[in-house]
Amino acid sequence: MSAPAIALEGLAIGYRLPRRQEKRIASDLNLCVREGQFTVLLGPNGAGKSTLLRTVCGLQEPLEGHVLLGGRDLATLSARERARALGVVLTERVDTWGLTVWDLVALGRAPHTRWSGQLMEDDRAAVARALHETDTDGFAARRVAELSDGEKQRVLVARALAQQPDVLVLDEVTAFLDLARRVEIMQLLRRLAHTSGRTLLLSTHDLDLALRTADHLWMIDRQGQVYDGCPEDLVLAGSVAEVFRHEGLEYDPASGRFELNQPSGERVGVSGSGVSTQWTRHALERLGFRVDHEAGEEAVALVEVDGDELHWRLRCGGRESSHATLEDLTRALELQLETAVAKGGSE
Amino acid sequence: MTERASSPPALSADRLRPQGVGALPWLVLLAAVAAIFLLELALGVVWIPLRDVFSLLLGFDASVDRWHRIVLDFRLPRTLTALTAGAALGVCGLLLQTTFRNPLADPWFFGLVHSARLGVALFVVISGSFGSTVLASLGLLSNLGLALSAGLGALAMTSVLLALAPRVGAVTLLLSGLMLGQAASGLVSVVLHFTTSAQSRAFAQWNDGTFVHVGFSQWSLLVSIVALGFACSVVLAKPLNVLLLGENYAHTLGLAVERSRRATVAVAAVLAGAVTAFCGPVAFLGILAPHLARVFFRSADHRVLLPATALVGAGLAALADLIVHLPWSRHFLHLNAMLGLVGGPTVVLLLLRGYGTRESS
Repeated sequence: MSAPAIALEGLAIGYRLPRRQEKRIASDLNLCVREGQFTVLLGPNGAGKSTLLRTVCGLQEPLEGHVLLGGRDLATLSARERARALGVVLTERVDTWGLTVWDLVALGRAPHTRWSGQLMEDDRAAVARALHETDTDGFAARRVAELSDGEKQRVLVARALAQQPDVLVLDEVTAFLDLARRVEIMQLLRRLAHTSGRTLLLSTHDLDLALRTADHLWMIDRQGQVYDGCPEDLVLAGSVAEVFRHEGLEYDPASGRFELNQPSGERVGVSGSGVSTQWTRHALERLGFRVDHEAGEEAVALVEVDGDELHWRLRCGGRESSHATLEDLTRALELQLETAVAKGGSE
Repeated sequence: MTERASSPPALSADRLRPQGVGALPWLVLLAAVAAIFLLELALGVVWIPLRDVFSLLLGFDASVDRWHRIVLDFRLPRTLTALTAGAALGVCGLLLQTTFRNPLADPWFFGLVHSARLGVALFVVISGSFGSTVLASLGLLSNLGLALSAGLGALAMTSVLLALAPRVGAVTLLLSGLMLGQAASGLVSVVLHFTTSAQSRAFAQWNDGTFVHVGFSQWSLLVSIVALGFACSVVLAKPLNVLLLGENYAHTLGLAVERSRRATVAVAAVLAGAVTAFCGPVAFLGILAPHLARVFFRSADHRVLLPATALVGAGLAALADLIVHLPWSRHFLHLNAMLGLVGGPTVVLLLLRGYGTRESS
């Protein structure tokens, strides 16, 4: 079997401080990324994702241990060899000084060109291919400063591709993008890994997107604990819930969502089936009600859902009303409960 | 790497590529510099017809005997010095702007010019040169000493700024350079306190930037140093291009970042030092030339910008000098005043366009 594309052996990451002190973020990391895999490093902000990636890229020295690229120790590679093996996209802003998209992507050829930086035939072909693969060839002549954030990120990915590395490392490339652009770039990166045999390692704090796109997950929490495995295994083993519990979030493996609202209020029975019933529960839970399938003993109200007509019937405190929207329904429910409380208080 | 999603047609590489810099801007710029060069030789208190300027340049006699001396002995060295110094300061500014990733970088603002003057002042006091003579009649050794000490002075300043740069923003760095430059100026005065009156008179004359007092022997030394600096800059063009992306990206592209930056500021210091040693403190060329070159050539590539900035700088310096030496009835126009007239508003414009608010790292 060939060596893994990236392997961490007994790696300790962190910062060296003056007077031989050090701030350790994580120690004894033994992880690897297989060739052609799309691996996502997931963790809350401040857990050390960037430090780990910077160490993998050689921008920061490990406190202990080794980073192996295709079986070769990163520390023994020359700067140029490293640049040919590893392409990087960082979170930092690129001041573009009026560079065109083509110019910026062509800078990715630096580890391959001669001292003058002159582009040869194959350099130009590599640039064109990188533009093509990231679907940025349409605006190669435009200035980078004129691009939208999503386009800019794709151009930075193209720049790393033009380097023709076996391994791409990307730090929080989706951080400042809206949902559509985030999905777009994740799909692009996944495609790059799966169609060309390149290995991608990407960090993000976007759990949902990570679970749905990654072949393999590395999860790091604030204690420096790292879990790795395929996304579904990590959910089932409770690791995802574990990492986010430290952040004060409850992850529900059944729904694949965070519990934002601890149900604390009264019970409401909901009867019906289908999508509209599901979203009725959603609306009631959002408002803090505990939702049962049928009206139990303690239920203060019962909602009947007519999914075909998009119509709701509410029975509460002996009164019955019908509603055409969920907003209408929930407002009526809250109003009735309030008056019930007010009455109860006055007695 | 076997199965690409789809392979683009080979032709697209060149189809996609933005049009490079054509020959036209180069021709226009060269023509402008040549025109300024000729006008510098022709215009002044005495107006000399271009026909005579040409024949003098080609080694023939002019129609009036006296013109030979005016054109070849006074105006030609001054013009050549202006062209050389302007090119050097422009390139110096470009190197500083890219290395510090700071569009406001300039040898004068960053204090290189003043620390170079401090170097010169120390050299004058220690070696006792300048004496009763003016700058133009110094020997080669003294000239070399002047250039060297000025270069060392500038180098000291760039080293301080290089250490400061990662910690502060663009404007803070600029102000630090300005203030340290003022401090160096103060030290110059202190040092001059220990010179003889003749020495300080010579120094005072040189204290206002001008291309007048440089003779042929000094110019040939200046041009050699500047040529050396340019040769080094050409080798640095690729590292400078990579540095545009920032330190971290440059590192991941295989560049030895620290070494490249140190080499670049050393070249910048040598250029600023050499010019300051012979022409005194000249302001604004270092910030004006690179920005004009970027606008004119619409490029960020240093392989274009280095020669372009040199040409623009040369043209600007000679033009400013030309205006200073037109036959004004009263002689209040100084070189730095002329440059400030254009340079000051340009810097304000750059600040207003938000260049200063960007972080330097």
